[in-house]
Formats: sequence, C-alpha cells, structure tokens
Amino acid sequence: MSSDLLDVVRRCRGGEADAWRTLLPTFQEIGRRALRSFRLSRADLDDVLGDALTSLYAGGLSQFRGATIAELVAFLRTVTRNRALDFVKERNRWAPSDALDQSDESTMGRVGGPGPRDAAFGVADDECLAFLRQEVGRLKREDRELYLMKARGLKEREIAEQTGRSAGTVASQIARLLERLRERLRDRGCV
Amino acid sequence: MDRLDRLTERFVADLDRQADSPAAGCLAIDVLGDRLTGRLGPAARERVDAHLDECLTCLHAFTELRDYVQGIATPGPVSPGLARTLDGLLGHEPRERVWLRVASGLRRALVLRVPAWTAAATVAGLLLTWVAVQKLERPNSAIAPPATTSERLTPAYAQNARTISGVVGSIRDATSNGVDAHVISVTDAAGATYVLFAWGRPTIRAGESVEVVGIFTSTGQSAGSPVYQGVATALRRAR
Repeated sequence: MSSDLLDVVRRCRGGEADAWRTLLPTFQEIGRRALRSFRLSRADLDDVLGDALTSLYAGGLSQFRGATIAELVAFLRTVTRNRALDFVKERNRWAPSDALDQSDESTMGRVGGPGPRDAAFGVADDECLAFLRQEVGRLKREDRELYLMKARGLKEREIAEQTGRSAGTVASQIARLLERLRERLRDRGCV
Repeated sequence: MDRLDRLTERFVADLDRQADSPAAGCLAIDVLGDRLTGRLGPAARERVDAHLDECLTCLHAFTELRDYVQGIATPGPVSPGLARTLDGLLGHEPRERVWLRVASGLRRALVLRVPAWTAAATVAGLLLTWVAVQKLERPNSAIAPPATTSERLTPAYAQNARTISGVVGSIRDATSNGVDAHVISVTDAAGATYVLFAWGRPTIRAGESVEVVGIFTSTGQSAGSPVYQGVATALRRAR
C-alpha cells in the first residue's frame, strides 16, 4: 500500500482536478468492493458511487482524519455503504412488494430484517443465525476465511487470487464447506 | 436462494455492523493493514494472528481489507458514468449530458424547493385560468387561437395530449406533504427525451418500455436531440 495515495487525497482536498482523476479508479474499486453484498445492478452501482463521489467532492473528503491507507479504505467504505443504504431504502419504498419478493429479497433482508419466507421454517431465524455463527466459529481459520469471502460475494477467481490457490481448488473447497454447513443446519432443523 | 444463503447474508450484515463500531478488544484497522502488508514484527504478528483465530469480526474486516488492497493494486477501467460524474463536478460536463441537468434541475425544483402539491396546484390553476379566459373570449368559437411565434410559448392547454412510446431512463420521487408524485424521464426511438411530472406512485421501473399520454412542450435541443417537459396524464407499460 503506497503512501502516494494519501498524497493524492491531500491534493484532492486542495481542489486539484488532476488529483481527483487519479483518485477515481481507486475510489471505484473500493466502492465496488464495499457494495458487493448489496448486489446492485451496474446502473444502480454507478448511481450510488456517483452520489458518494459527489458528497466527497462537496466536502466529505475533508472529514477524513486518518493517516494510513487502511484508514482511508475504511473511510471510503463507510461513505459508499451509507449512500447505498439510503439508495436501497428509497428504492424499496417505491418498488412493488411482489417484485421485491421475487427479485430482491437479499437487499430487503439487509434493510428490513429477515425475508418473509423465513417464517416457513420450523426453527426461528435468530436461533439458526446463532447456530450458523457457532458453526462458522468452529471451522479452521482457512475455511472461515473462504466462507467469509464467498459470503461477501467474491468470485472464486478473486478468492484464488487473494489466497494464492488455484481457482479449481478454491471451488471444490467452497463446495465442500457449504455442503458441510448445510448438513449441520439441516440436522438442526434450519434448512 | 436457499435458507443458508439468506442466513449467510444476515450473518455478513451483522459482521458489517460490528465492523462499523468494533468492540473494545477488536484490532484497529491500521493494525490489520500492517498485518496484511507484513509490517508487523514476529511477536506482534503472532498476537494479531491469535486474535484473528478467535474473532470473526476482525477476521471479516481482515479479509475485506485484503479485498480492497487487491482492488487498489489492480484497478479496473473507470465506468463512463462515474467519469462523467467527475467531469460534471470538475466543470467539464460534456454537452450530451445537458439534458440530464435539465431533468435534475426540474426534479430538484419539484422535490426540494416546491412541495408537490404546490406545483400540482399551480399547474392546474394555470390550466383552468387559461381555459376560462379562452371560453370567456370565444364562447363556442371554432376559430383557432392566434399562432404564436415559438412552440415554447404555446400554452400546454393549446396542445393536444399526445401519446409517446419509449424507455424509462429514470424515476425520481417528487412526493411532498403526503402527496405522492414522481418525475420520469423517457427517451423515445428517435432519441427525444421527455421529462414528465406525474401524480401518484410509480407503476413502472427504469428500463421498462412505456406508453405515455401527456401534455408537454419543447425546451430546446441537447446534442441534436429534442427535449420536452410537461405532465403525464396516463402511463402504461408498452405491449
């Protein structure tokens, strides 16, 4: 991680247009990755990132007080996720409820709690969630990392790049891991 | 999506919330960054790894940070939409995006400054006044009103409602004081853009093909394509 990026941010805050252009690809990467779990369409993603960029340009970036790249990443993550939460809330307010049930329950679950169909299962959602958390906690660290990356929406190719394993190995490890978790949840009456 | 997927989503959402306000014992984000870039000494690294073995919240933050760092190291091409947004902010907005500013200006005027019921009442009042004046001046007259020099000056009343077909580009909320309203932009096959105010809740979504009956007037051209604004009186999905 280069401290050059922090210099770019400093120049952005000074109003340098070139610095904003330099920052843009980095901002886009952080934003896209921060919003993985929202599963937005490409157009919606652009809208949310555009809004976040506008708020940063309008003075939001001056709120950044950190001194490391990791802190900058965390700051940009928070800005983009807050924008996305506002966006999803607004969209859910307008979308027909049947359309949401069919196509967008993941996002709905994030904002409004458990999806409507969860009520069909015998064991309460919160209890199953606690059980899942417990089971994930019992995995070895390597598998826990795989599960968390997959859960955030990383593709197997990306996981392979980040963990130094082959995509085929990652795919089979994840398939085995998910099957094991599903089996444990089934034994518990959650699936 | 099965129940494991849905539970996983809630699980990750919980971890995200915890990462936003970590517990007292959790690792600071810059410590995770140092662990990622190998800047910790052996003892500190061992301590951090021991914590990551135990704490799912920190392990989640760590894997997430690794994802971001990977993205920063190999950024992809910037999307044209985001590049245009930045150009607009920097004052280099391309000409073809001017119509979007028209739509945005109209939306802001309707949503932020003028309550929807005020806008609706004003439009309705102007129309009724015009109708009354016309009827008083020319009761039952078949004589056409005098021609105006510019289409822009033609009152909406004097134009017949027309039906257009096109694709919805965007829908913006214009609700205020409990009155449901929205503004849609529709682009037809010829490339003309219509920015239309409509009452009620949207029944269509961006990207859908629609037929709109409306009264509208030209606001000029943008990049060679005409732009109209007005009021939608009926709206349905195209068959």
